[in-house]
Amino acid sequence: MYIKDYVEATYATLVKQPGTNTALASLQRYLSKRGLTKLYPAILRGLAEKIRRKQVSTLPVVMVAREADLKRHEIEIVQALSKLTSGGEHEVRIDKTMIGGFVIKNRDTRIDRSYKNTLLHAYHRLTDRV
Amino acid sequence: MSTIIERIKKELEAIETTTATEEIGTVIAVGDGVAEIEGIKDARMMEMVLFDDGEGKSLKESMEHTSVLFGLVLNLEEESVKVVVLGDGARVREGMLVRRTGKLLSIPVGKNIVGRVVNPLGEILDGKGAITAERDMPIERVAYGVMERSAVNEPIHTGIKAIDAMIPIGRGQRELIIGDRATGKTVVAIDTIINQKYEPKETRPICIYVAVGQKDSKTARIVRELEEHGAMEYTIVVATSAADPSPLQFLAPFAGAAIGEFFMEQGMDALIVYDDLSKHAVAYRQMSLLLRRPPGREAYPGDIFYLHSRLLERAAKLSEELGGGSLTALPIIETQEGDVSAYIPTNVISITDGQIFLETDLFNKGIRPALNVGISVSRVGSSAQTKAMKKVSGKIRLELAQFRELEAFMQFAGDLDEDTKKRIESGRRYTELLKQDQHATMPFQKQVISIFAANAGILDGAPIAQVRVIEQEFLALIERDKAVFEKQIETERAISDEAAAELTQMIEEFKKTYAHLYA
Repeated sequence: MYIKDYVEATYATLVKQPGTNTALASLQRYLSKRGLTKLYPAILRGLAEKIRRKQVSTLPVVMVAREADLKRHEIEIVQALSKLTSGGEHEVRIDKTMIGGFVIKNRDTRIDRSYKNTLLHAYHRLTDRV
Repeated sequence: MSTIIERIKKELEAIETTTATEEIGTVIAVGDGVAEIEGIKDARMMEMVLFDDGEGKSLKESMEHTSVLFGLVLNLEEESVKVVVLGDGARVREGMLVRRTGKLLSIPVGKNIVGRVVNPLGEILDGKGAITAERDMPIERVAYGVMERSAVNEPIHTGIKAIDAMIPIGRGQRELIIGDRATGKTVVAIDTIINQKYEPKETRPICIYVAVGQKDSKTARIVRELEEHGAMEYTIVVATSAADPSPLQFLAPFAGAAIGEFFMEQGMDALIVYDDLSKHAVAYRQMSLLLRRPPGREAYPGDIFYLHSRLLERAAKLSEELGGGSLTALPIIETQEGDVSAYIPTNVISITDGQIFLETDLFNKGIRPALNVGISVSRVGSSAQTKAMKKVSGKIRLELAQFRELEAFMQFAGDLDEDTKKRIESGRRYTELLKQDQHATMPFQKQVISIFAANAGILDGAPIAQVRVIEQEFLALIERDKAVFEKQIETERAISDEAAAELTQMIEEFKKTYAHLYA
């Protein structure tokens, strides 16, 4: 088994039976029985990373270049948010590199109406890079 | 200038104002050109994804990269997908966003791709400006089925006498060129491409040379040679060097096949050279091991046979209803110490419709092309051979077969009877006649005349050293005095009885006039 498989298995155990100590103690026992105790730190690191990724905010994120853009694109943002989520709650982040427009991210989907990416795509197409 | 302004205007008009959603993922691990991505749940096998390395960077910084970084989905796993990076893997970072493109990997092809050098993604390598794409051809696709094909019935002339006479190749066939390193495998393939210049423009096949993991210097030399012989006019080079990432090397033959199919589907003929599939198998093995697919024999993945069979199955002769186009494949395999029973050679031998064996011993003896005509075969090509060639090649095949049997007795030449000695001498003359220099391909009609003359006894009594001189002199004589014969064979593809009689007469006269060559 790869470290990744141990991470997945331990994570699944943790989800099913909350109580970190029991799950980790059985993992330690299992590894020492097979002489694989060396893997324990790496598995723990992988597990921590997986938990961190799973705990990332589930709220949609609206990114704009400046706060004024929230007002400017209000209607479009509301429309876009309704596509991605049923509730209106969202987090707002400022990213000056976007130049203008907005980006909405919700888990594995994104609506990108930033000026930066629009210009970048046009540049790539004009220079035959796409 | 106005064209650029027009293009910019079009781009501005095309800027999307809709709020379309796109599926994104995040790189969770990356190494050795393989990235593991979490998020893009609906991704499909062989789909292209785009690495978005512009997040958090200014527009100016994002524009600094000379190319867009694509990835190819190759493993769909429970929690994530594994993607091979088609470019500089060092640009991929953990946490980087990845966008689905929704497009299966394809290559933009247009008629003006002919004469160009591109990489497997269709990116230009020769700096000669953009290629106008007419269609996006999928790199992976299912080959044409039985009902969509017709029998191989037209020859593709290599310009190499030994091959055209005894191992004929038909349009739509797959003929393997196999041999150790430095036995002239690439030369046979390149000569075949060069020889297509003798074909009439309307039936001339478009040639595609696919360099898989070759040295850049070798590819550059080949392109230069093709240019010098005027062959780049109808040739496309798909190049990947040994320094390119393994996914690009893996894709190169498939990209070449996609280009060939573009022309085949337009009713044209195409010829594709895969140089070579041994390196292709090695690249695929590397990629598969990095993707943690289970290794099999010689550490190749279990589907290595399927990889090559689905690639070579794309060579086809289409039915008349589908335009009658064809794609002929000349895959090359490099053996180690002449071992044709290794894994990849046996696989490809069993997939193809015949093999051309090149041997180091013959090469070192000065027999070039170093073709072993005894074990080389063409399974479907004979039905595509022209009447003229069929008529003359029967005898040469028989003579050489007898010669090979008697070859072992050659060292006891003194004790042999006259008949055996005669057969050995004849075999040696035929062997000499079949020698050809690099890039000295011979049009089919000249080959027919040359072999006809040998069968009619023009070489009888000639010293071995003079065989090729006699051949050249006789062909020059025909060109000077009876060019009509060549024209007739070229157009009618057969030798009439009258022409045969007249040629025999000319041979008799030639032997008298050029008696000094027989001394």
